[in-house]
Amino acid sequence: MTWLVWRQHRQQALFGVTSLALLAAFFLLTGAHMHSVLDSSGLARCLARHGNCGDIQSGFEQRFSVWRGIQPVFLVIPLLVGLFWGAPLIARELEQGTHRLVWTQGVGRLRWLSAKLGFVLGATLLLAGAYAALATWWLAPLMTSTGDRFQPGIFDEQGLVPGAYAFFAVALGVAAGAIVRRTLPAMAVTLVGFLTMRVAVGGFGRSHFVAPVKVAAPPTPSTDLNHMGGWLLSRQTVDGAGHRTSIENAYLSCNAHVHAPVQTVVRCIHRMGFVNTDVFQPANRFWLFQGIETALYGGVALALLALAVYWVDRRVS
Amino acid sequence: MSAILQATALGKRYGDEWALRDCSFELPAGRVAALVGPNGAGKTTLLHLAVGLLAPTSGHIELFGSPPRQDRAVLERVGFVAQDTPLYHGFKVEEMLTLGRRLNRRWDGRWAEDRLRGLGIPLGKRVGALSGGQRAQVALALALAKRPELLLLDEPVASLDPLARREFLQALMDAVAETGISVVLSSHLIADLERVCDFLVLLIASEVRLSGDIEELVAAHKVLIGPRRSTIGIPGVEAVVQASHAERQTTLLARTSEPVYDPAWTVQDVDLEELVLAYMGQPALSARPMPAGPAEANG
Repeated sequence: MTWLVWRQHRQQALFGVTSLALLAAFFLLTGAHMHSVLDSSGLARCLARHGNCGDIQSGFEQRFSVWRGIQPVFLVIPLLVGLFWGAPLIARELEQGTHRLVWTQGVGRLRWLSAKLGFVLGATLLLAGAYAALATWWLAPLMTSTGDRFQPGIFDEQGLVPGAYAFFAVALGVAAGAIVRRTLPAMAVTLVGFLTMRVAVGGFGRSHFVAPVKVAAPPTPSTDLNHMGGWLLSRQTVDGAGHRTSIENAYLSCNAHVHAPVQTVVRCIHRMGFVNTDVFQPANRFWLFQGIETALYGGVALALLALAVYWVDRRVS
Repeated sequence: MSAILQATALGKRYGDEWALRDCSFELPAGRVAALVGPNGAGKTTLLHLAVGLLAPTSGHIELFGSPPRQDRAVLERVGFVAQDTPLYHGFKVEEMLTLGRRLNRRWDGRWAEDRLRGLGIPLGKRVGALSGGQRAQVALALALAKRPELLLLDEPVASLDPLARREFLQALMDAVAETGISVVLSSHLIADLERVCDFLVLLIASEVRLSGDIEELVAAHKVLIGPRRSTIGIPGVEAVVQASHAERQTTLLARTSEPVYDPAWTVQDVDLEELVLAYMGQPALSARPMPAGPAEANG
């Protein structure tokens, strides 16, 4: 069986490895540059001291704005694995009837299926793991600079979750292929299913994994309003009369823009009764959330794989 | 144990539709059987049940006395060529043979290679680059290299041109002569199989209408031509399969139990194709008002 699976899928495997190698070359070259600039510009040191790094930081951001700009492309990679490795795995056999050839040799369908699944899932975990490690390392300077690694869309490109997404995408493709029995429709189902799950979890589910922290305080300059590395879900600022306003308005009202002494501004904000309420997920929950999301996608993927196995065993002839 | 394949009240239902119903027959060893029926009659379903690709809804099917779905070992003794002779089109011919060697315990690769060389099929060529007839030959070689005792082929010549058809059936007959293997071949056209088969299983509208040795079946059926009159109670006629009435004349195709001596009838022999077509023209067993006995079809 191993020989057959390898012979059948070696081209896809080769394509996957080559793509990863090209990506790795890109990550290593540009990433090494970013890491070195982060150190040599003094931005890393400045941020570590929680200093005001305005100029150094904007210089760094300007220099690497292109990399920050292309990073959403990496969101698509796990989907590609599901489309091109997952969906055709069983669908192509059913489409061409070759499963009947193999199942009537001396190999049962469950052994056939486990060999195929073992190969594609193993390859997925291996390549996706390597990819995720590289992407995380590459993104680190950008994350250090702005502290936005918990933000939706960026959270999704690093740590454990890229691997979980890829695993899920492959499982979805396999199940869709087993049930739909044709490659192109299976790819369409994979595309829609993957996007639906990603939007549902990323857009709605994730913020509720753990009850968010709610902090209400006068928005003085000493209050932490950045939540570096955290995820701000909502912000509401009211004045003394309870009317909605913004922090900028509060500062304008207290003449902060004309370089009034900090003490004066602070007293003014207290006196006028400004209160800012932030609802957010603090930075130290990053890995907890990564773990929860990974478990969620992994669980759904295992359920889909069980469905695919059931379907192939009972409903396919 | 003489039956190599035995179906007993075998049925397969998809949703509300019976693809195969109450199917019983036995295939003795050493025969080349034609599984004949119109498209959609259940031939593929029957063959898939035979090789365990499908599980029966009712009844059972046994190969060499074992149910193929439960006892996979029995499949080692069976070669199967599915409809449209599926092969991996990206593989070379020799890689298809490697596949067979890797997936089977019993495998005669040298024999398969010699056979394909003899047919002028290059082993280094990609399967996708072969002609339809060559692909069918590769599929046949793959099935025969298992050294099976029973070979099942699902519409193997349906997609081939007349020359490739003849070559394929010739190759099959050579293999039968060489190995004494039992064969079941399905087709919707009896003409394809008439020269090579000696046993018939006729499947119509999900039911087995007729099965048995072809010579015996042909001998037992006669065409009777006589004046137009009632067709009931002719001595020697067991059942009327098909009756057609012209203005003054009646033509019957009947199953006879003994010679018909009634001088009113002219008796003629039938050929297999006529016989099969007559049965195909009958309404389905389950749709008939009378239980058992075949009824007349007035044309």
